[in-house]
Amino acid sequence: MSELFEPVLRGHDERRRAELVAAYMAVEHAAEPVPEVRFAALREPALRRALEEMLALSGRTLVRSEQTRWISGYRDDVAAELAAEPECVPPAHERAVLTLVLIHSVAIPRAAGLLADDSWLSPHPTPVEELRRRTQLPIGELEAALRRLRTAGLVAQVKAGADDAGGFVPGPQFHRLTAGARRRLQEELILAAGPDSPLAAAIRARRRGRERDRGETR
Amino acid sequence: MSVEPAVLARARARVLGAVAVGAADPVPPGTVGASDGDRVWVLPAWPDGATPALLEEYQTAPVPLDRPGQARRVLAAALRCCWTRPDDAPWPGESAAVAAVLGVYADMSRGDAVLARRWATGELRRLADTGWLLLDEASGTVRPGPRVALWAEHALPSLRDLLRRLPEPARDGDGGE
Amino acid sequence: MSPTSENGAGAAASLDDALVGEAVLGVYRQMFAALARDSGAVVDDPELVDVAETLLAAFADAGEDGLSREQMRHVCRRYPPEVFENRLRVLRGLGAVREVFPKPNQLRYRASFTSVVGLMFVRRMMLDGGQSEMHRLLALEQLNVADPRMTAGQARAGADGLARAFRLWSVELLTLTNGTIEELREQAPKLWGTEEILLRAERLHGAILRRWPRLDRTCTDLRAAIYAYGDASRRAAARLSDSAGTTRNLTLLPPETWRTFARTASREDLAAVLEGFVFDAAAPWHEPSAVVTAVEDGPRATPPRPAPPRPSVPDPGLSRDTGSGGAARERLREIAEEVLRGRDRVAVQDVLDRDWPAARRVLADLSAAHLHPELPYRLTWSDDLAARPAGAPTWVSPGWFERTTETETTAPPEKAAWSGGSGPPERSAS
Repeated sequence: MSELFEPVLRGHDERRRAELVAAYMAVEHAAEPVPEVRFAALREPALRRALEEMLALSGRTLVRSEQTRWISGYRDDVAAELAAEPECVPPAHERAVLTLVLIHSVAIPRAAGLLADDSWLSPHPTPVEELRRRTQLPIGELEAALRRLRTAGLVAQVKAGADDAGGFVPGPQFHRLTAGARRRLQEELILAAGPDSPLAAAIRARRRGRERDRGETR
Repeated sequence: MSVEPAVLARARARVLGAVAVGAADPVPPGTVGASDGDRVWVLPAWPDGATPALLEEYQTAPVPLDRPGQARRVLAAALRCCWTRPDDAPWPGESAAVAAVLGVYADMSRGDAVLARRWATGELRRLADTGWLLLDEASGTVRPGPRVALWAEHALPSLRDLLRRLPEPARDGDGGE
Repeated sequence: MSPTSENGAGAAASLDDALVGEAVLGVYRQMFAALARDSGAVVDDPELVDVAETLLAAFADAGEDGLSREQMRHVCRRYPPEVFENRLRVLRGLGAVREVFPKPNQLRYRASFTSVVGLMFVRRMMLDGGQSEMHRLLALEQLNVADPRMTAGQARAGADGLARAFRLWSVELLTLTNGTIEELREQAPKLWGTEEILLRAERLHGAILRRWPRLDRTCTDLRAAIYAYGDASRRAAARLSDSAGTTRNLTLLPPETWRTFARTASREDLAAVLEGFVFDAAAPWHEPSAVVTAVEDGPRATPPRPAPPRPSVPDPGLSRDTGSGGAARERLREIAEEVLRGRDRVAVQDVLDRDWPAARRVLADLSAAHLHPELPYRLTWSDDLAARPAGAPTWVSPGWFERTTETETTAPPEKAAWSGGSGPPERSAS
């Protein structure tokens, strides 16, 4: 039995303790956000707070989805520190492929009005042909990158259907981005694809402002 | 602003998966260290002996796997060869030749043996990528991976029983010993 | 010009004016002929513009011979005859299509270049609200300013026109910025200026001022208009990014911009987008029992032990799915019955009196049995707490695991009602 969680769990009776453990394992390991109706520790605010404390021990936090579902993700400050360590960030060729999937499956359908939800998951597959023929990526890297991204749950494969060729969509890990991380992802994509747009200018101005604020409070 | 080092270390362990540090290096507090004598692998610590198998009890789907059955059969074949003293824990186990594992797998499977070996080779790599096996492609050997150290003792009897019933690894060729 | 033109309108002057005016109007008419419904109003159905476009395209392909009436009708065959006739009449009336007689008794038609240009302009305006027009204008003016033949008067007129355009854009943007967010989101990308437009405008402003320093008043106006426009653009963008949600602003770059980036960006540029993000390593879980199941259910050459006699089921693979739900239910029923051992209710505390990991599993199974719609069991808790300083969970709250009264058809038929037995006699407070 691990000592790590004892300070949080100690004060709870065995039922609540079991509920906390169940909710903890569920949000940490489920593929998709879990419904709070099934887990008392997600439903009850006091238990949910204890659950947050358990998650915080490993730099994680609850991410809410569709009002009544929950999953866990890295806290923004923890993610920022880890992202500064090169070995914690996926290699460049995997990131490049993932960015392309995000553009084709989310950004373009979103811009074309085909995607209504404010989510980084999408039913619109990025065709493999698009990745293979119409990008600047070396082909040799593509297959290997897609395989690794798939294993890691960063992309999911959509089998060819009656009227589309199938391809790849963002994987279940995108459920785990906090609202802050999702917003940042949107900003990074806009800065990259439309650096010249007024929107990019607004993003840069706001970031400069934030850095200034931080500088002053130090 | 900066995050507590132990918290960061536990988060890092999740980002990196099962990674090894030198046996003399400290394992971050609040993690489980699986040591084979030379190195220690940093594994997550779960509360109250729970494992992700708990999800099933709550009808909650884990991250889907491609061909989970095949992955688990290859893992069984590998354990048949590497977990040579079934009364002990599976970790750290022994080294076995990849050829022997592929042989056991082919014996377990129906149909084209060449094809079965090819599938199994891909599966061995994936199992190694995810910490369930340690694969040394240069020497053509495989060992149990640190993640098997997370198996609870009470969950093992049926697996021990199964492994006894699997085909025996070949003892000749390039070193099944 | 002449002081007399105010009233009375001198005949000679007015004839000239009339001729100039007629020429200007002629260009106007041809420019917008494609959009005209009749010679007095603009179309009210976009399809009418498509007819004009189809015709103009056919004229471009036909070359100097032009088209006969039959040929025109043929290229427009997918439109009803009356629509075609109406279009032709309007286009002819406004001078966009003219009759020519290459040979005696041969009537042909030719199209006006101006109308095509007008249509191109209109299409571009529809696409981006005039952004690309502004690019073109700025580029042209920049060329003009470098042209030795350009006069100060022409430069002033150009600068005034641009200043006016920027002002009107700013006003529209500011109105939108103070309006509803939905409208702003929809309209802003057509109106706001990219850094490039602003940069070009400032460059032009600098070039005019260098060549004609006396135009400084005009240039001050132009500069103010450019700044106002830049400011209005940033305000609109800031309001949108504040209300952005987490993917919504992706709609603010057109699909083409995304596609171009995806196709032309280097691997490094693409990778840089995700530089600041961390994700979980792949960590699938293989429970020992799942490994056992995978082997036992897997296809295999020879059974690892003598195969148990099987009922002759045609394809065991097909029935597995429905079977596993039933198997899970039966497993829970077995566990529940094992815990109850013939009683109708037991204290959870007694059941859990073992090492905590094992107890936790039992508890999870009892909860699952409680939640299972087809199983007649219930788990109830009271709100009291009891301290157990030596126990593995230090605190316990009294709870009962019990059989519910609704008997299922598959339950043992002789199941008795509460019979005293070995269970705790007192009832819980709930």
